[in-house]
Amino acid sequence: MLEHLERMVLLAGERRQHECKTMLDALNRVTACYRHLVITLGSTSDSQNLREELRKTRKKAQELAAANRTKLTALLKDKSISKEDRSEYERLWVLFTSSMELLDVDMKRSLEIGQDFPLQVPTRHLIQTGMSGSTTTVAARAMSVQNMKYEADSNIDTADLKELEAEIAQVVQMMEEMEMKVQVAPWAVEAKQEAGAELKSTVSVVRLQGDNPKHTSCCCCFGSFSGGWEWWCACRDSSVLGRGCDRG
Amino acid sequence: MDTISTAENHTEMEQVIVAMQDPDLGIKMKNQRLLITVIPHAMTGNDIVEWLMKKYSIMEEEALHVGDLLVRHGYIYPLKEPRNLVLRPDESPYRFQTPYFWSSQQWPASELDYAIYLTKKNIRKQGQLIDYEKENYNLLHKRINHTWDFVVMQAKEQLRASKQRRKADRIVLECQEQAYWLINRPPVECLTPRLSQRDRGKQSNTKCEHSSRMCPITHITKRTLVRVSGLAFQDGRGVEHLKKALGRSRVKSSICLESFIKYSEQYFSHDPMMHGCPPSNPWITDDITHWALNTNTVSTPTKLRVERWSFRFMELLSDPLGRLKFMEYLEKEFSAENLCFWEACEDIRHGENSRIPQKVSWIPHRQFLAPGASKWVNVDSKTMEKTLEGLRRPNRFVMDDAQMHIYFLMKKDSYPRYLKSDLYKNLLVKAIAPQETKRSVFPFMRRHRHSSPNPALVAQALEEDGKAKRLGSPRITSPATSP
Repeated sequence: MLEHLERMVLLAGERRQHECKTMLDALNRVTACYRHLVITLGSTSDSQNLREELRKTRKKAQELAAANRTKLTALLKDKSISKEDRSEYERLWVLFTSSMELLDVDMKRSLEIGQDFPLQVPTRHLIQTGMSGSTTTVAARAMSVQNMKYEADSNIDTADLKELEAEIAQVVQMMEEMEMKVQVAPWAVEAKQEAGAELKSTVSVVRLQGDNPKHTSCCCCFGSFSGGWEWWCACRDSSVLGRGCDRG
Repeated sequence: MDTISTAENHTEMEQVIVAMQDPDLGIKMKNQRLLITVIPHAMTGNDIVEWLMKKYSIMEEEALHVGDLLVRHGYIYPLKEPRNLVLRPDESPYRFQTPYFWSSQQWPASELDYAIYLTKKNIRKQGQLIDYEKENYNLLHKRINHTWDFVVMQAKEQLRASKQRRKADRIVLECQEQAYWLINRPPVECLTPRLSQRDRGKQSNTKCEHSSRMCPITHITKRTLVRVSGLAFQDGRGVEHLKKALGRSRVKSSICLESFIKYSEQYFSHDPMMHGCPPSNPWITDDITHWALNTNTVSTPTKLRVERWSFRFMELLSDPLGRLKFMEYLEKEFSAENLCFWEACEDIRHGENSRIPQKVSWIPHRQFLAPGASKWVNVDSKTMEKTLEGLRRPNRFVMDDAQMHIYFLMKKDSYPRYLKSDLYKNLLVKAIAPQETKRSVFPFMRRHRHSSPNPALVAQALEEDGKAKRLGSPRITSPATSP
């Protein structure tokens, strides 16, 4: 009975970690998409649609950032978690702050370039960079939707800039608060990936140590952290709580 | 246009680039054909040169130079031979760089971004990175190891996002990124294309001192050094200057902050802002007791003042009353000539220029420095020689070395003795410590204001006073009362 309870507690901890990682994944995805969108700013494929995509992606990024921050801060402030758990959360924290770093810079740059290249001014020509397609699918990927819906006014390129400025200030403030409240030494975190690890697999979920080669191609499974623990698959099939995943 | 890259020059270059986009007056674009993909917005080197010549009415050589700058600063990149960042005035194709990747001092290329780029390239090329890129990759893996997992995550996601775009755009994006990183992390063999140099011939002179395999950090430092030195001096002098700068001694901030704190603590009770001026601040209460107690001729100085003399020698010397008391002490010890000499040097240093030769001629030489002089001071032979040499061409600073020598002599010898002497201790005991006057409860209550006396009237009163004194006592000529 006691063993069962212990297991439940440990599973709850794993679930928490898994939730964190999923959220971080989402934030990571949105950051990457945002970067793609900002690169297109100022070029001839810039358009009102792009500005709206930027705005929507940005808002999504902020939601995710806030959610991640709340969760991670709560976890890191919790004194009851084990040392291993804590070091894992610290690693996730560093991933989170790096993501925020990129987002912060990209937001500031999109403000700068957005101001430099207003869409309605005929004398400020857009740069002919060779890009010709649209970024709808990229934005859709960020929003995790099938198709993007465009509902903004035709002056979004200028109207959005003020909001953007306010949001940048918010992000900066949040990052400062984060640094104050959470005591994590980033340099103490060790990466789980070795150099060239990206060549070995194309798995989306962040991997942990104790890589089980059976799971390399399964995109929904992840291994456990403390060696010797059993694998369990985060797929819908919740009855699988043993070793190995049949989908591997 | 200057060859040095500054913010203003970047803005100018950006303006040129934007002008090139004009649908009517800009450069006419062509399509680039790559096997099955067609990518728009390509132009030849010739197009660029000709457009520049026409638009700015300049000669071909200048147009070539300007165009070359645009390429070297990353506003235009070549499509064939992307590593060769020069402008060829022929049919070689070029394309404009997107504003996100424009050079900007406000947004320098970050290590994190470079790591992500290299990881992406590693995945795309399946591990086949170029030598210097491989080195940089490994170095970055060590240096930003704590966030390496993020690098991998983000690289993969960025690749997935780019798969959402059409093939032509994907190719363009890869070219853009490659061009950006060729400029911001150039391979070591070709020195940064952004060097300021008048002609290409000088490139060989500014060779790297290290071997060709340099880690990015020293490369960056070297590059910045060379760029900075290029800014400061056109020839090799810049490096000399910087070497000297490196040799200058520096104090650790922890140490100088400690002494700063000590200083602040020591002077805290003496600071009128932090601690108030006893009895009260004349500017606030209109009570000039504070000033009256601290004049240069007061007979009993205040406690705070006397304390300050013990803090450092310069405090004692810069307070006229302190100097007076010190002189009194020295006269008792028969070593007053040092202070007299020092005062004479100060007089030369701060006095009128026209009177320097006169002062210099008879005060130090005959009175102090010559052997057997009436007030001989103990200056070492080297300083003596230097001073006597300088006296031939007297200027304000000719006595500086000797003055400094005597100053340190006094500081090491007489000053500590003075602080331990009875004279000083008595002063300290007798010193006044005025009480702080009680502040009124309502500080902003209307105070009874009185105007200070008219200066003209005061001067007149003094004169009359002086006259009265003269009538009663032997005649003393003083400049104030002479007609």
